Amino acid sequence: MEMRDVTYNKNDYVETASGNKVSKQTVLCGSQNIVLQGRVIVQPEAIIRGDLANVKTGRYCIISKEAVIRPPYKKFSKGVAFFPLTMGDNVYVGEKSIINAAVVGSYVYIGRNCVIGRRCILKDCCIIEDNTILAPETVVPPFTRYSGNPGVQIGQAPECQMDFMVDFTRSYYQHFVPAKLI
Amino acid sequence: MDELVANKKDNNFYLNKDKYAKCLEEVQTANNVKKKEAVHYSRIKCYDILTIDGDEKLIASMKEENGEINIKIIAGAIVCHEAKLRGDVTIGAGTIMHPCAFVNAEAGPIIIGEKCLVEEQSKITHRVPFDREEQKNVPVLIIGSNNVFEVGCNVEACRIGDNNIFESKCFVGNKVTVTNGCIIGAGCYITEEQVLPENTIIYGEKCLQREALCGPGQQTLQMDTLSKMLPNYHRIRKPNLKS
Repeated sequence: MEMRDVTYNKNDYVETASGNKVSKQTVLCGSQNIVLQGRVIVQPEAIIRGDLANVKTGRYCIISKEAVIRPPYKKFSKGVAFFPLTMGDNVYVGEKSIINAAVVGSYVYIGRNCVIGRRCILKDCCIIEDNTILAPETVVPPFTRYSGNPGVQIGQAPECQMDFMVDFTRSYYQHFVPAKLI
Repeated sequence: MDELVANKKDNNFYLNKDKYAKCLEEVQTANNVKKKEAVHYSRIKCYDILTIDGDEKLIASMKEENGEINIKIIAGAIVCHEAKLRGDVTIGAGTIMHPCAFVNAEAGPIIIGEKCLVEEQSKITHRVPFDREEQKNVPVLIIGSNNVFEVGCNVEACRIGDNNIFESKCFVGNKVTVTNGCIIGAGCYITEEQVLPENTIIYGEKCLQREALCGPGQQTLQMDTLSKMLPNYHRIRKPNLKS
């Protein structure tokens, strides 16, 4: 099935040389610590906290409206350290989700309104359903489907999850086009 | 008058009639023009027009941005410039406010105590319940010290004690009184009129309640790190009160 075109106003987005499309209404703190590998879409009012620690995303990531990407912290006897947050390729983050994870693998789907607790590890090809709240330091194994509050495994992701996410994020990117002036 | 304008020894700025008229016209056009430019924005930001007896007069802008006179920040607090503060807000020493935190004192003043941590997207609102709107005396929302408001929480409680943690995406209604050492879990909703006893924990999908043996630990370590890191990346509001 072909995706429908989602149009945006060209003046509202910045397109970088590597194809990142970043809305001007996002809050990027400490932008020198944020690495977007290319073809990443960041939608309005998303917050990426590069000031706390490095944030690195893979290619074809989609960060929806009002999502928060925030590096996690860990307490040590001598103070608190913030850990870098890495995200794999082809990741979708739904609207209003809060990502406090340490690692998000590739081909991960995170629904709307989720809270990914501190220093969670999401392995490749997992699905977090809408409104899930993952407790801090949860490890989500590959090819699983998590849901609920606190989030527990409720099923398995299909074997084709990788191809599905590649397809989904690529076509999302290709159909995210500037509105044509008529 | 002309003499005054000509001899510019003092620091005052005088407007003569022509300049006044010109300024008035500029503000008018700025208000009417659909595609505003930088000039127009700067005019709107400084001036507004009030009609008195058919005469148009320039007045200082009444927009919300200028309503920040009532914000008091006590020395030692770190409040990022991007944090939105509306109405009469007092922020205690050692409190850290991340960018995009939102404090809205719409019903009355809010006083935030010492060493609180307010993360981004959290909303602290002072709202009076519908049935108590009639009352004349405006209540003050007092928030104690060492409270943590995590990302995306929405707190409207009518009183908050010390050492509480409001986790991500929780909602606390305006009839709830929060005492000391309570933890409101991520995604929990409490709206009914109640007083949460000390060391209460609200958790899970059904917002179950139980009592903890001891209150949550303090966040001083995190606050220390943040108070070193945040000023490197953000503009910090100047404190305007001494402790």
